[in-house]
Amino acid sequence: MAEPQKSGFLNKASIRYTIYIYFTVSALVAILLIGISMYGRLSSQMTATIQEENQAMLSQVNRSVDAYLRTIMKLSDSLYYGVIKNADMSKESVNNEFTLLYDNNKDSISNIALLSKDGELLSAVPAARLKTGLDVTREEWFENTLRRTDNLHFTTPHVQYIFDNNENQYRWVISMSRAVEITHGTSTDQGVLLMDISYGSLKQLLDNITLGNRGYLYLISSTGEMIYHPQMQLIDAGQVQENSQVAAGYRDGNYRETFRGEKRDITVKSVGYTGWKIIGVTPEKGIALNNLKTKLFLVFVVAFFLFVLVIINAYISNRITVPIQKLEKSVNALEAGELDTEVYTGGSYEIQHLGRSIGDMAHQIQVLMNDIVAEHESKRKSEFDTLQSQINPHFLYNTLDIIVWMIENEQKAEAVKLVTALARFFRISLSKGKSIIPVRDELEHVRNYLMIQQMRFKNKFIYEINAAPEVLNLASLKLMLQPLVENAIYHGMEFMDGDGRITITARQDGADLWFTIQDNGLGMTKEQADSLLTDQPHKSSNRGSGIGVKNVNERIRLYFGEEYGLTIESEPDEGTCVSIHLPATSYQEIMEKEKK
Amino acid sequence: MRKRRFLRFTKTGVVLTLCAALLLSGCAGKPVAEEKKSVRIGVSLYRGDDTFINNIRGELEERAKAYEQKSGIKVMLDIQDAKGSQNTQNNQVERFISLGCDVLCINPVDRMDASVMIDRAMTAGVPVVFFNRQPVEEDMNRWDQLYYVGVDAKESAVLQGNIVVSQYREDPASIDFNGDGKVSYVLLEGESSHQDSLIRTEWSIQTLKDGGVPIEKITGGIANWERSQASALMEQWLETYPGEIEPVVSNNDDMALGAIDALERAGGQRINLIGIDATTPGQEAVQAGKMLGTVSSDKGRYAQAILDLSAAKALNQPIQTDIPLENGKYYWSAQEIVKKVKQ
Amino acid sequence: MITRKEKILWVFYAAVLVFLYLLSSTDLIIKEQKSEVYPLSVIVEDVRDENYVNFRKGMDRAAMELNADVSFITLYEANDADQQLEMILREQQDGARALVLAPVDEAMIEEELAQKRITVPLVLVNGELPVDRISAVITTDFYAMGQQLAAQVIRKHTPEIPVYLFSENHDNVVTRRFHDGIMAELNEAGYQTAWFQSREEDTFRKTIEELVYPEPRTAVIIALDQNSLARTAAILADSSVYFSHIQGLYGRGTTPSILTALDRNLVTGICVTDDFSAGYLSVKRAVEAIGNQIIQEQTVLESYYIEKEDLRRPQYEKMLYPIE
Repeated sequence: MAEPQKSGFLNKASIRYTIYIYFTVSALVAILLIGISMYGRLSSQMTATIQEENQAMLSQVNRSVDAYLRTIMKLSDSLYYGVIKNADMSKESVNNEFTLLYDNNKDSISNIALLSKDGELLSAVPAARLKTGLDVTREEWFENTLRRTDNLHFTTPHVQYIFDNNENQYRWVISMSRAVEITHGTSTDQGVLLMDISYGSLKQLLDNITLGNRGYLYLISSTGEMIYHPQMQLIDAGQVQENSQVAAGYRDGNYRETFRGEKRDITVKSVGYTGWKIIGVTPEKGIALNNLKTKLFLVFVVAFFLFVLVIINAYISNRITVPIQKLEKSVNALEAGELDTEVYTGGSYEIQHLGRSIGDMAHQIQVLMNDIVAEHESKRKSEFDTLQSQINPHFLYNTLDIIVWMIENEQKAEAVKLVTALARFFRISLSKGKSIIPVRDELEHVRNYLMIQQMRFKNKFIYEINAAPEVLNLASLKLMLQPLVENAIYHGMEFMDGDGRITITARQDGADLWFTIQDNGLGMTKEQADSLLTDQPHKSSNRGSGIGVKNVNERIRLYFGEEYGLTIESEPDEGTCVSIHLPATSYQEIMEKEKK
Repeated sequence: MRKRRFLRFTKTGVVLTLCAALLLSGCAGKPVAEEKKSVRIGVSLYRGDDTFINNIRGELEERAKAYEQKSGIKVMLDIQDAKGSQNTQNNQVERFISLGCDVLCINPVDRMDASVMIDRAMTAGVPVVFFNRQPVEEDMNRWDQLYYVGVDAKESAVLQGNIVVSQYREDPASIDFNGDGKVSYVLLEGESSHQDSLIRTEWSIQTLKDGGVPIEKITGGIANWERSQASALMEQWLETYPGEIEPVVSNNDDMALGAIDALERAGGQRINLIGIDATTPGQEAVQAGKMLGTVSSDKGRYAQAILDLSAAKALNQPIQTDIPLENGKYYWSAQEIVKKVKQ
Repeated sequence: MITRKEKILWVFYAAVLVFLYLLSSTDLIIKEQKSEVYPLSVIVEDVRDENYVNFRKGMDRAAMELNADVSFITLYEANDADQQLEMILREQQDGARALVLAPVDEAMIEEELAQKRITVPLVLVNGELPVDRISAVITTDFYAMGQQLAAQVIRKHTPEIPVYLFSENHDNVVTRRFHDGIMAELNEAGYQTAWFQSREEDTFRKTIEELVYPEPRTAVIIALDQNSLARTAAILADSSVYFSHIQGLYGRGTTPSILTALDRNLVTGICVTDDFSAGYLSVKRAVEAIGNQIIQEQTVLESYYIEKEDLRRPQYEKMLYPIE
């Protein structure tokens, strides 16, 4: 898993900062995501709500305007069916009834007038007269009304013109007219009932309506002429524009339009009977959430939550990392070599476990180190023993004695042989201090020993040394065979009386190297055999090197491993066979290894 | 050491407290001493084209200017026309208050419905001087900073009646044209909801009766104080009752002038007209002999009363003694008959 | 373990939080924009506001929309330049943040501006001054208006009939320009003219009477200002005799009484302008000037010649009878 080299900072950052930063970053991301999605949601929700409310408001206004017009139309009906139809104009005046109905509707009606087909003013409430010289029959609404007698006619707003008025006054009205049948005695004739609706009352109805989000509404006739607009005067003056002509073409429903670079939502609702349309306009610009303060508030909320979360993070990460840091400190101490330091075991379960494990490991190390020291000690001791035993004074004295005796007895040749053997024996014993020597040399060593011992023991035994040629160059431990042969001689041959036989073989078997020392001596019991390997080298024997069997075994195992060593097979009175198991390594190899 | 620190601490504390006290007292003292240099008056008229109201308005503006020049205190007079809509007037009152008017002069559109305006003024602590159209007594009693300047309607009516009475006594034939022993009159009335219409009508007729004039009513009609409506009514009556009408009793000058308009259109008939108000055109008509007489209510003093009351209230000064207030609220302007000056 | 550096960071962060909170949720740092009210004063050259009816309607409309507190100031004496200056300085001192002015004496105003005695933004109505000194100008070309009217008179009446010019006894820039325009056209067309200023109450009446008695003549009257037009119309209304000797009465203005007179055939034709827009724009420019953002510096309104029938045409109806 080759990871690209992260930035040095991250690599070296302590676990505390890493957790900190990761926590914080993830918290920040989470908060931002939540914040943004909530903001978006709120925003769209608000827009949707405002639009719904605007719709509701518009429906309401529609109903209001409807009701308003309906009231007026009903009034017209009352005037006609209730009053005019029942009245004979030649006899009575309808003024009182008109006055009654007018008084009840003063707020919305400016004038009520009954005109004959020829333009004569028959009745007017409040009292009014037609302007001098004005011919009502030429007025467009008059003509229209008489032409289409089944309808109520509405005009667009205009200044009231047909009546005499006070000098400084003018009234904006919407004229509503219908054709009526006027009874004169026995004849009936056509006439026109005119009701001037006070524009101010309609304006009041619509003026105070604001749609949310800076929306507004306006009223147009079926042909697109403006009937009401919050900024009507300004539009007429050309200061402000409105998209009324286009709106006139819409049917009822919701639309989206762009006017003068601004996107707006348009709702169109028709008012009954008159063909007028109520247009509700809501600009699509974002809502109040755009306020600078609101934005800052959002930032504040995010920062605040981040603050809280970071504190929590800090607490959590401290709870995790402080034990780790303490553990780290302990480890530092350990590294510095103080193996005895108390390792911190606290914090979470894992840290505790780690602490304990590290403690155990330190302990273990300490133990192992002690073991190694002990091993080295014992090795050294063995070495020392071996070293010490390399020159055994007793064996030397004895052999020298024999040599002196031989010389005194003119056995020159044997003396020479003995001296030579002794020299060779000791030379190999020393082997320049090496512990590992070639098998050749080891065999030579034991041959010399046997030669000496044979002479000393006056040929009480015979010996044989068999070695396959290939083993000669393998590696062997020094002073390995000789102590065993020594044992064989002194525990086996002593009582043999000339029939003693010691056979030494060395052979290679694959990766193993086997030596056997066979004697036909007294043998020993199994217990004795075992104890030979385990007993302390009790006393330095004066008959050979003094190194015990145990020592040999130990040294073999020390040098070559636990799986190698001595095995003793013995049958009392039959004989003993000691096998030495070594790895078959060439002497060269070991030398090269040692060089390294 | 500690003692020294403690002492120093106390000293600083005392010094700071003294400073703070001085500052606060300084601030608190200020508003009382400061002189007001300007006065802002919001005026709302029930209908701007009512001639009487217009006259009062003109007088008010002139006198405000005079006051300004004399006292050096700037008078900001903001005059609005409610165009006969109480709603509009309520909005205007709202606007005045939000613009910081010191006092309001209101000529209420609907005298029964003044409570909204009074509430608003009370909440804002702005005194109100009502004029010409009198709010109901309960409303006026709601606050002690409400005033009314007007004309005693009964007095006007009695004076009006007396014009005819004295004329009749002087020369009955100048009133009773056809000599049938009956003075046949037509009556032009103002708005039905206006307190003055009722009072003027009632007392005018009563005065005539009391004065021994044998009156007989032909007909009457409501012309809502308006000239054009009176003109229309009169035209109808001239058609309906040709030659029968002797005097026209009108609740105000505007309507009387409307009747004159109708008369002039119909061609000169001899008819006496009496009105109330003595508006400028009314007075002209009297001097021109078109109207028998009218009742003047010293519009100058009327407007002056409104102005003085307002100024006093705005400047938080006590009201001058030359403005006698009935019940501490009502100022009745003096009136007199105006007849043609005999040359 | 928290290091010192970390502690400082924490404290700093907490401080930032508090600051943000104050910024966003309280009014201590960012004040909620209370809708500012702009006090401004409109100073005209007349003693009454009769001739400014439509103008005031436009003004009031703009004042409501733009949150302006408008004081409408009239002079104690009409066309008194000194007094107007006094008013200007007084209003300026009293805290008006912009002034809308219908100037009496333009040169004087220019002088005052040069001397920096007038320090608030100035919007000129019905006057002319170099635009670099003032914030905005809203005016009508009265000279051209005069020419326009004169052209109509020429169209309707032959040069034998004398043309009387009536005006009030004040010197007024607008009247003068109007007069000059009329004279230019009439002189070129060879009409006989005479200018009457009402030094006395009944100057107009007497002049008209001279047409009746001793020698019956006729004349055309052009009133140079609104008051004169209204008064002359009233005179003609009162007497049909007088009326019969006048071939036509012309003038300018948009007051309701003038329009009614036009409707009643007392006045033959008038030149009108969109006063409502003028009033609206003047306040709008003034508010813009206070806010240091002028969009347009000079607005010249069109003048229209109308007769009785035109009163009912939608475009004139809306202009002359503004809805409030």
